[in-house]
Amino acid sequence: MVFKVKGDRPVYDVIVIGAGVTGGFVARELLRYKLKVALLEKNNDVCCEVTRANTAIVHSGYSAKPGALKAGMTVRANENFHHVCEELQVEFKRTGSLMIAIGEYGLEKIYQKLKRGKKNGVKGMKILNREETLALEPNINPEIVMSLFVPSTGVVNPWEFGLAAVENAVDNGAELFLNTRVTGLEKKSGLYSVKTDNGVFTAKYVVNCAGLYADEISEMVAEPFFKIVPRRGEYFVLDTDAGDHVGRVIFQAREDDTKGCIVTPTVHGNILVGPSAEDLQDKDDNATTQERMDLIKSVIQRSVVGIPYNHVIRSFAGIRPRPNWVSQNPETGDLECYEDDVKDFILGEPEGCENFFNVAGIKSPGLTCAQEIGDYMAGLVIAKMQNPQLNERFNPCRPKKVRFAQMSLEEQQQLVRQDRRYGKIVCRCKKVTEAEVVDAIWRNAGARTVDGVKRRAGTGLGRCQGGFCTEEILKILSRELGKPLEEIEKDGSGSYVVSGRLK
Amino acid sequence: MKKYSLIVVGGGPAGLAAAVSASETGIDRILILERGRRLGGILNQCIHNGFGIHYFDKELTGPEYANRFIKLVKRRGIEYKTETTVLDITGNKTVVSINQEDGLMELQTDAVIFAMGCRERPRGAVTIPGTRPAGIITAGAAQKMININGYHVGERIIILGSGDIGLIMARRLTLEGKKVLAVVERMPHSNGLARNIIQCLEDFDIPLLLSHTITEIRGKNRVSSVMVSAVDEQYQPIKGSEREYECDTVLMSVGLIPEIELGKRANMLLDPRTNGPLVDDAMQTSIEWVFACGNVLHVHDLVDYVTLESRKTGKAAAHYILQRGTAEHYAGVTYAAPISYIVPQKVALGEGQAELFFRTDRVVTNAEVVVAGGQGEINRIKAARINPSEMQRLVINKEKINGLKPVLEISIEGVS
Ligand SMILES: Cc1cc2nc3c(=O)[nH]c(=O)nc-3n(C[C@H](O)[C@H](O)[C@H](O)COP(=O)(O)OP(=O)(O)OC[C@H]3O[C@@H](n4cnc5c(N)ncnc54)[C@H](O)[C@@H]3O)c2cc1C
Ligand SMILES: Cc1cc2nc3c(=O)[nH]c(=O)nc-3n(C[C@H](O)[C@H](O)[C@H](O)COP(=O)(O)OP(=O)(O)OC[C@H]3O[C@@H](n4cnc5c(N)ncnc54)[C@H](O)[C@@H]3O)c2cc1C
Repeated sequence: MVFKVKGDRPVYDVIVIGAGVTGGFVARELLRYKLKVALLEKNNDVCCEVTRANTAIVHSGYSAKPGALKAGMTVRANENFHHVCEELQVEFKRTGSLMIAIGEYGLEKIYQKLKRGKKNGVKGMKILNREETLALEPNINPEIVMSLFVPSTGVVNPWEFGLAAVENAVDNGAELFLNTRVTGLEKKSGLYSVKTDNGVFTAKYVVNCAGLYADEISEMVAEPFFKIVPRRGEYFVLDTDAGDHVGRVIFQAREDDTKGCIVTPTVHGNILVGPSAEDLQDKDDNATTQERMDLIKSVIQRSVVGIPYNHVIRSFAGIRPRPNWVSQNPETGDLECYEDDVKDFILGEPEGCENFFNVAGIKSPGLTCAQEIGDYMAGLVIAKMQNPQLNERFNPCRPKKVRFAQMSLEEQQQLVRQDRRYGKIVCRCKKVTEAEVVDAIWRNAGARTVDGVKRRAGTGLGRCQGGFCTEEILKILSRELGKPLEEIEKDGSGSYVVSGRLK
Repeated sequence: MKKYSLIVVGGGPAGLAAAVSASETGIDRILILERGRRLGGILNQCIHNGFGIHYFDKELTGPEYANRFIKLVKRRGIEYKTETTVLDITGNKTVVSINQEDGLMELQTDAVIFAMGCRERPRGAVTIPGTRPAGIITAGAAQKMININGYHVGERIIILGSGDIGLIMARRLTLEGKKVLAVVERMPHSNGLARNIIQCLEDFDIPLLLSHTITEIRGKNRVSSVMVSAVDEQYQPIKGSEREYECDTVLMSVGLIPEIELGKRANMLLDPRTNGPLVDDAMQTSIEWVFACGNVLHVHDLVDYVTLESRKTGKAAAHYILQRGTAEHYAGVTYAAPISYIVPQKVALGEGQAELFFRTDRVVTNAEVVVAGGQGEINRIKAARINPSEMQRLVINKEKINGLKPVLEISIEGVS
């Protein structure tokens, strides 16, 4: 991260607003060219919004309408996912999925998905009868009729995927500015002046990857034409003891897809149950509610039975950035919604805004498609340039992380000899060492908060949910960053952990 | 590879007492492995009084109590390593551990005693709806933050759960000048000891809200308030009874679970009731060369009982190492509600006495504890009142357990 005095900033080629998975990949793919790229993020860490709380499924591509950008992107991204995860060192498991059909309606639905999938180019799909389904997944509701099996569906560690993209972008020269909220945009003599609460930035091109706030950013330069309506989804997480309850992603064929509760294995060996769906007013209201939790339980038992809720270790909620088309009534000036739902990603320059690009309405399967979106957007931006130069030094690979717990005894012994800090277990549930915590802090786009360490090093994800290691991590952060313990935050700004020193 | 007779995992009161007693029984080459910075376990952060009333007949602080055993360990020349985490035990009687000095160690041994203590149930396990801000902390973690590290965890505090640690912390925080608004307990009775209710809450006018729970946590980055509701007999919140408490901290004291990961990884048989290992009355687990005592076995309310149990365990492990024969025939221990668990889960047949510990899941008054051993009643003990928060002890003459299929049946009659 480069720090410059306000007002003394260089002119960037491209400013990317928002460091979620989308912004991360847009920046990364842009850096395949010799460009000066700044990534502006309002929070104190990257990937803390939509990218952090979702179902983490790498979709196969049978849901999107044939012909939509989304359809081709999902299928290609799925095929390429293993490769991208190898480059970026991200955990990914191709688990396969089943869409469970109960009753007439369900049957119709899965045949429709099969047809769509075939059109979109999804490979290996198969309709299974009841017995075949139960043989694969014994905990499926025995009352089902049939299911749609898709081998290419997978699961990824979502925040790791986003972090990896941002980190790799920074490794390749992107400048990341945290705690930098974009508040205004202005075009002056061919350049965009981007106002933030951390000073003004200037660039030739601007790419808006602001997730839930993409409509607000777009409206800083363009006429309103879409609105992001937040839709909350709540989840339960079961601990790894219950991890083999299902081995594949289990969807339900239901009347409304987006409301379908899913049971998903995670890359960490947990089980995720959810999400629910509920439209909200407030874009950052990620509270969980008793009603939705109860609802999930009642809906889920139609597809998967016997979920051991006594193994629940956590609940959380994510917010979908659902785009709606709007237009302005020329007489009243009011915004009117004229279509309920946008069926595709909104990618490109809005009318009359040259060199400003929207990447908006990136709801599911946005995680799956992130690299494809990055590639597509880089293509659009580069096409505008006079003489783009390839960046020969671009390295698509992220340095490997040491995962002490997954190594052989010999390798572990070797590591402790090299660096004593591997001899200290910080997180006892997941066996994460002090050396790994320090690495999480000092990598590019590194952690500055307790939860930031958690997302990068995997601490606090176990049974005790950070009860034991939070204190250790606070101390390490305080030591490494040279800040008093009172100033170390758990997560967002203002989330201090200790309130003062004893006298 | 270095070879030991006995490796004790965990240097809290259980591990210390077990090591000392094994040493007294004639075992040398004992090694205690402790992941903390010093020996003493949880006692190091319990700077209040009230330890040792039963065992030493004296009121000591936690560290004072621990020091008595640490001195014995040193005096007997028992080897120990601190800041050393045990990672695994393997089938060929090997203990894998790690620290910064020695790196990764594979240590050979004849027997192991598990004395890893317990951990606190996190908030997630009870899934309170609402946001997930900073300011939610388990009572034990808060105790450590204040007593060991010297930092305040918050200014206005609500405590969820009336476990003893929560009660002790209510007093501690109040003495530090912080405002403890209430202790909220879902059950109609407290999970803490009567003396703690009086000394930690009543003496400081802190309300104890029985049959209440937190139904929502609010606040984006730091806790800003919680909603508290009364609950009905099924523990469901009663609509209309909600009240908002403005606070910046929620302290969770909702129970402890044995720290038995090492056992799980070694496929040790566990009791789903205690979440600890299944043992016989010599505290031998389903893995013949592994014994267990203290909070890793079942959660004790008083450290004095931990010490007694662990002394017995140390001795039994010593007998095993010295090959003084192991039992061949056992009586399984059976029970029914209101008893919630009994440890040990089986008793070796033969001479002498067996000591059993149990808890009930509700308050029981004017009852009789009936002990039957295969061919009829052995014993009948009157109990005026049994509190769920207090562990109960039963001593049984083993010779009375007989019959073709020996069992030990414990029941409670006349529950009111
Ligand atoms: C409940 C749920 C389930 C989902 N399940 C799946 C799934 O299974 N599979 C799948 O492929 N996808 C799934 N998705 C979709 C996927 O999570 C998203 O498409 C993806 O994470 C979007 O990433 P993003 O970078 O566009 O948004 P975000 O991650 O929200 O990033 C936007 C960033 O912009 C920043 N920002 C906003 N405004 C400003 C400003 N003014 N100045 C500076 N920075 C700003 C934000 O702080 C944020 O960091 C799911 C989504 C949800 C909510
Ligand atoms: C927070 C708390 C407060 C308490 N307060 C009181 C009180 O006020 N009064 C009272 O009478 N009782 C109290 N108790 C109960 C009493 O202190 C305990 O019953 C007693 O300490 C249990 O002893 P133990 O040795 O089984 O466990 P602990 O004291 O917990 O010791 C276990 C030790 O094992 C170590 N360990 C665990 N796993 C490993 C591993 N893999 N490798 C190496 N070492 C390991 C731990 O670091 C720990 O030091 C309290 C308990 C807790 C949890």
